[in-house]
Order: sequence, then structure tokens, then C-alpha cells
Amino acid sequence: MSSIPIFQENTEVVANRSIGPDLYWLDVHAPQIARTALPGQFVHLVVSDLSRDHRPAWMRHTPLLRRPFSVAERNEKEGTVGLIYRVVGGGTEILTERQTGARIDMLGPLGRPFEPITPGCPVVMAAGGVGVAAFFFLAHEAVYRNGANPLDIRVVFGAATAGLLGGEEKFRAMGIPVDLATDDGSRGHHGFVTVLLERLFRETPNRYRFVYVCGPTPMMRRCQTISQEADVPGQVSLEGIMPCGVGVCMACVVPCRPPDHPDVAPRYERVCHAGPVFDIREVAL
Amino acid sequence: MTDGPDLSVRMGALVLKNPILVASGTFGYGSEYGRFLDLSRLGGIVTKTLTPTPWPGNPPPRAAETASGMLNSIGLQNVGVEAFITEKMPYLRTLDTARIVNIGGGPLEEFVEVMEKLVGCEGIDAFEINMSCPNVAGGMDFSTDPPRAAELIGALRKITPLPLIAKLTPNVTDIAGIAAAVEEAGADAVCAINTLRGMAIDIETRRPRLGAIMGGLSGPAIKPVALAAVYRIARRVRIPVIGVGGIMSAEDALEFLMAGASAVQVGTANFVDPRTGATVADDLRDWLVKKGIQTVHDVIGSLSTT
Repeated sequence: MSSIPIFQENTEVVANRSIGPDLYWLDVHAPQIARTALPGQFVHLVVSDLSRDHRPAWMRHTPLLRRPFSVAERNEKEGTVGLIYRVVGGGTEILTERQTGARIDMLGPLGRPFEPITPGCPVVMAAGGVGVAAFFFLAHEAVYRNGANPLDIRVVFGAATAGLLGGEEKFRAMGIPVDLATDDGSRGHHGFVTVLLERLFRETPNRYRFVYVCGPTPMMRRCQTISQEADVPGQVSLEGIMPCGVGVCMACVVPCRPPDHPDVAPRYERVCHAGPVFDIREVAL
Repeated sequence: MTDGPDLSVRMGALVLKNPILVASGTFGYGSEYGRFLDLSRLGGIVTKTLTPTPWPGNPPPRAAETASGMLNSIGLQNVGVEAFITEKMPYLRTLDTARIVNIGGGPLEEFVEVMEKLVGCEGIDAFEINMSCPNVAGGMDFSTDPPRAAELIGALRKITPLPLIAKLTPNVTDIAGIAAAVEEAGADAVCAINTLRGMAIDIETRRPRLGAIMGGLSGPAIKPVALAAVYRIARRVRIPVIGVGGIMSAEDALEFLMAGASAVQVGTANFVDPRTGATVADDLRDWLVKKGIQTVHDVIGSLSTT
């Protein structure tokens, strides 16, 4: 792990725009991270404004801790990295204030990436809310870099309401079929996205060889059961309260056990270091 | 080495090229942050607390952000002393900075066990004794009672000739009294402060924000508390004091030096910016140059109270 390069870049905001209610797309110029990031990896940002020098360090760093975000897109040619975030608290609210041209300190790329998609091996991506972010990147690499057939990728994407399904058109633009669900029925299936995943496995048994899951914990927990029942292997991408993001502070742990040994006592693994991507069978959510 | 002010400080047999260390638990075993900065710019690295065997740590969540600070309840999750020697020391030996190995445990015998395993290990410049962890049962016992503090340091003093730094908890009435006890027992330096016990609650779920309910508070929020502790200890003991608590800048470090600290540790700020320790060391040098001060010793304990 320590041999993999990680960069601390003083990036510049290219765009920070609303794409739904409390939902934002952030593009930053971070050429080294854009060059090296893999789908499933994340970056760790200072959300506060560091540019004004007269304030003492503690005041400039309010909030104190960095915030982790999955890489949703990279553009090697432009040297940019795209992220999606939802305003869920003070840190993300402050991030909305960073305008085009502002500097943002970013560490990355961090963590273990997804298993890449092999052409000819059909997969499902099950996303809840902003959990979709890493799947844009995963799908894009599969289709444009690995030569996967977009019809071999299926996305099921759920959110609380239609406005929070931001970015789903990106999958369609790649030719990837998308099934949507909303809790309030404002778009797609009225209910949970897990119902769509279950239906897909039921109606096309043995078609999908792998499932990628990222979303709220109850959704991922349900997906664990569904994938186990359908006997489809997969990976989940987790988040956690992550002070350091590089494996030193030991805060962002999740209990894990080896997939083949469900009876052994779980070990605490660091989400930022062993993850954020884990085997769907190994994490105890 | 460029000409300029002398930043070196000495604590017993331990010589630091500059007084800026990075604190235990915030810098892993060095290699993690060796990817971000030239570690030789630091005065030294204090490694994560080692216990006799690998420890699993506390249930998550283990961290929560609070006003200018953070709570943690890691619970000493670490690789254990044997894996440290075989897997972590080879990297640390390559570094051109002081290597201070932090040890901990539950009962006194565990501290002794760790120390005995490390005693022949080449490349260790000093030991820091974590007698003040708020996140394990009994973790603070040795640092809340002067006779027990002295007993622990006395026992370890018999095992190693290397400098011993006693890291103290602020969760006591008279931290200077504890410092005096460890000085008497043979400690070469004291480090203050470990985290302050604290908690936070999610009012929607009515649950604590930490899995362990309570944890240790660190970050800029605790700097005034740490500074007062350092000031009181420095007036009471003759051995050097290492100040730690909320340092994010050279200005913060200078406050500690003026209060009587001979060196400081950067802790939580490493998470905020991995380069903080190196930046603080550079900025400290620049400040001395700007003030025309030849040696950092002219700053240490220079507080004027009249």
C-alpha cells in the first residue's frame, strides 16, 4: 500500500454547481490525482477557505477535519477530477461556498479500488443517493477504457426523490440501461432500489456475475442478503468518520471477517486503508 | 544544514535537531506520511502506542468532530510489539529523525513486557510511556496517582538506559504533582497533555457519537488547557517538558516554548495537513531569524509574568 503514490494537491475549483436539491457536482483541477485515480478510490478535502492569511490556523481550519468523497469522474487531458456531494452538515455546506478559482487542498487518490469490469462479464451497479458517484467513474472506465459492452452493465439507482437522482443521464449517455427508484414515487419505481436489484436477479437469473453496491447502510445490508441469495459475488463501497484518510488514526473501522469463514471473530479493518471497497461478504454492516 | 538559529534541544541523552515532534497515534509508524513529506524535517516521530499483543480496539464509531477539535475512542488498536519490531522498525531505522517509541498497556506487567521486547531493538532513540490513555480500562490509572506513576516509571527505568518520557493525563487535579513523582522515579522528560475525557451526543437518535460513549478530546480546543498544564509542570520539575495539545502553527508552538516546554508535539493537525509538523519547524526557524534570536533556548521558558 505504501508504495502506491498519494498526492497532496493544492487544487483549483473549476466548477461547483448544484445538480439537485442540496446536491452538487464539484470539478477541481488536480492533474496528478486525475492521472492516477482508479474507480472506487476517494479524495480527502479541506472544505474551509484556506486563502485568507490573517486568521490563525485553527480558525482557517473550521471545520477541523477533512471530508472524504468518492471520485466520480476524471479527465486526464484537462487534469480534472469530478466529485458529487450532498449537503448533509456543516462541512458540506461550507464546501458549497468554494467558487470557481478557489483553492482546495486535496489528498488522493486514497483507498482500495473496485475490481475492474471484464468485457463479456455482465455486472450490476446498485446505488443509493450520492453512493452513485463512484459508479460513474467505474462505468466510464469499463466502457471507454476496458472495452466493455454498455449493455452488459446494468444500473439500479434509488434516491429519496427525483431531484436526487442527479447524474443518471450520464449512464444513459454511455448506453448503459438504468432502472430508477424513489422513496416518494416521484420517478421510477415507487419504493426502495433494493426491490429493483431483487427483481433483476429473479427475472434474469444467472445473467449477472458481479454486483457493486454503494449507498446508505440499510440499503447495503439488504443488498448483502440479496446477492447472497442470488449467489452473485460483489463489492460494497463504505464510508466512515475518517479523520486522517490514510490509515494512521484507526478511527474509520468496520468489523470484517474472511468471506469463507463466517464463524471467526470479526477484525476491525480501516475503511480508508483496507477499503473503502470491500468484498460484499466480508463486512458486518 | 544552512546557517541560522540553533533549533536543537536535548532531553537527557536524546538530542532533537529541532523541537517539533509528531504525536503518538497521529502519525502511524512513520511510513504512512513519509509519502507526503520529508520526515527529516521533523525533530522526531513518536509512534503509535504498542501493547504486548495486537489489540482490536473499541467498537466504532471511534471519532467525532467537535468545536475546533475531535473526540476519539480508538482504544489502542495496534500491531503489537513483535510486528512493530519486524515490520515497522526497518523503515524507521532509515529515517534521519529521532524515533521515539510509545508503549502502553493495562497492568504494569504489560508495560514491562513491551519494554523488555524492545530493549535490544536497534534504532530506538527514546521511549514515551503512555500512562494516560482515556480509552482503555485502567489506561489512566498510572497517571492519576503519584505513587503508582512513580512505580511504573521506576520499573521501566530498571529495564532501559534510553530516555524515558512520561506522557501525562490532564484529567487530574494536580498534573504537576504527577510530573514531580515521575521525575523522582527517573523519567528524563514529561509530555503533557494526553487527551481530555469528553463526549458528544446525537440528539436525534439519543445515542452517543462514539461507540465507546466517551473518548479523548484533542485539537485546538484543548490548547489553553495544555498550555496551563505545561506552565505548571515546568515551574515544578527540572526535567524537560514536551508540550502537546492543539498545535497547528509555529505561533502555537512558540506559546508552549515560552510557557516552558523544551519541545512540542503536533498531533491532530497531522490529519488536517500531513505537512504541519515540517511547516511548524520551518516557520519556527523563520520567526527566530526575524526576531534575531540565535537559539531556541532563548525562547524556552521566556514567559514574562510581571
